[in-house]
Amino acid sequence: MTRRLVQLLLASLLVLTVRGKVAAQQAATDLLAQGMRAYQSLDYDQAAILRRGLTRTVGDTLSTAERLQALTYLGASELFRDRRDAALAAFRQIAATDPRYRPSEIIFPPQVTGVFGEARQQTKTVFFQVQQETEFRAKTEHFTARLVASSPHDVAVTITTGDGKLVRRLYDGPIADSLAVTWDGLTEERNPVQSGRYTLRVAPRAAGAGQLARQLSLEILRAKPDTQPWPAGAGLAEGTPLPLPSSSSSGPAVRSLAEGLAAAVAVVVLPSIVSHDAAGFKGRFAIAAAIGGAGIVSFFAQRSAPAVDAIAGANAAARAAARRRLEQVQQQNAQSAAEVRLIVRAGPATSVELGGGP
Amino acid sequence: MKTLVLAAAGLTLLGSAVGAQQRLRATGWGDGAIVQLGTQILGARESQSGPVFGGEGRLGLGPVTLGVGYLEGRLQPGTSGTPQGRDLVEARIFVSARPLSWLTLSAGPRVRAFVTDAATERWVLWEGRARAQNALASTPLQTYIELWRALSARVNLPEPVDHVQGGEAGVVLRPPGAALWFRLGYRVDGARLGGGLRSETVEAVSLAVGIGGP
Repeated sequence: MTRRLVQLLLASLLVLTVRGKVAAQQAATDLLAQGMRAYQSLDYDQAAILRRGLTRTVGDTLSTAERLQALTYLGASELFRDRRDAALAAFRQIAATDPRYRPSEIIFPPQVTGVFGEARQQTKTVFFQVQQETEFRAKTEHFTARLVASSPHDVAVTITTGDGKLVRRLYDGPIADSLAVTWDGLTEERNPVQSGRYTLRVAPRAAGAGQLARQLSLEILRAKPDTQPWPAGAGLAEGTPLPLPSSSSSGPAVRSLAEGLAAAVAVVVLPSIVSHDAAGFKGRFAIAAAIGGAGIVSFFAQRSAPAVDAIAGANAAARAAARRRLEQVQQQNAQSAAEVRLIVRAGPATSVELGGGP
Repeated sequence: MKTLVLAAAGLTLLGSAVGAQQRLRATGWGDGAIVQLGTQILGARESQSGPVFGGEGRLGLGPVTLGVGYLEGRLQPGTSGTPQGRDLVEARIFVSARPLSWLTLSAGPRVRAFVTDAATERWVLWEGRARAQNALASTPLQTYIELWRALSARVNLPEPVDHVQGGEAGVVLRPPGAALWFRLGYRVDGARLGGGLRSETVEAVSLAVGIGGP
């Protein structure tokens, strides 16, 4: 019973949350439409209702495009209400959000677009265009960040550690419309950067009050060296036996037979050599037969086995080839291990308002 | 004096091996044999036989090996000769070196005693041995032949010792990858005393199981 009640309560809460969110979005969209209609009807005081809509649309209730549209209408309305500062503030918000956005010259008169241009000129900030993840070899390759400026100005582009220590100066100079900044993954001391969290920071060189520095969080990882596995048959270089070629030699076979027979004969004749009076242990003949048999077995086994020279030659050639392949891979792996591969993952971009100038 | 010279030679060889910082090798085996003792005195012959068990241990360092062996058994009389049995006890110490991969030279004292209720016949021999051992190709087998001769011999018998010599031959099986090896061999030694008035022959067919190098 209690469980059913809890489930019912949770379901009710979920429905209320979803409905509230949709209601907020509808309200913001309605306010935007209402404000736009009021502007078109030249009712600028009524159009200022857009401010309410914008303040209510914190978060995800209005899309960026809708928000920029609302700010444009709001700025234009404020301008026609003789509230120029409020208009500039609205337009600056646009410039700080999307440097490429321009008010439609069909909808808005030159008076509005002129003030908008002025606001954009006053807003010195840049925007990042970077890949979500970049992998590159430190020193020989590079990471690229494209910077788009709200207006031409001088910037200083740096990589810093998470706590703000300078790692590398990347660029110090003017930016017009856009600029591609590259980084080879090295520090100021020309060492590959360690894994960690870093910041790509773009700040206006003539920092003044109200100006914005843009920062992009970077997570950098040193990738493991991309080494190749040892080639198949690398063990041959270490002396592993090879499959043998078919060829035979009778030398070792005959030698083995001779050794076996010599030992067998020795067993038979030893008593008479050592002691003329020896009766001779009859059991020794079994030993002699065993030894002689071993020699004969060895003879035939060796006859059917490949020649040592042929084996040695084939082994040497195969080992040399295996060693060459192994050395080649080892060399490539050593080269890969010496290289530092960096993986750069771009995080969210943030704006930091700079304090007053000196 | 001879003992001192041999001991000094052995110590010198061991010392040089230790100086070369080589790895110590240990070998040991147990040996079971059927021994047949034949004694001939003025044309009269008697024989005794029986099982004998023993073992040998060796420590090698570099080219030098020091070994100790012992065996013991009871020999029973055959169809002829004295009806009395006797115990055979034998011990030896030796130092060996391997100048070639297939050749081993060794030297050292050997003491052998035939013990009866009435008396003990005691032999003290200083032997020099040469052993050739080689692998049979394409098999896990090795064959060996060993010959030895007493450089000096003393025995508590009335007849003087003319010479004592012996030999051994056999086959060794070392299965691939196994730590153990097996040896089947035949050995014989003969002593001639008093210008041929007396002779003694000891023959044995033996089976040994060992660990380490054969």
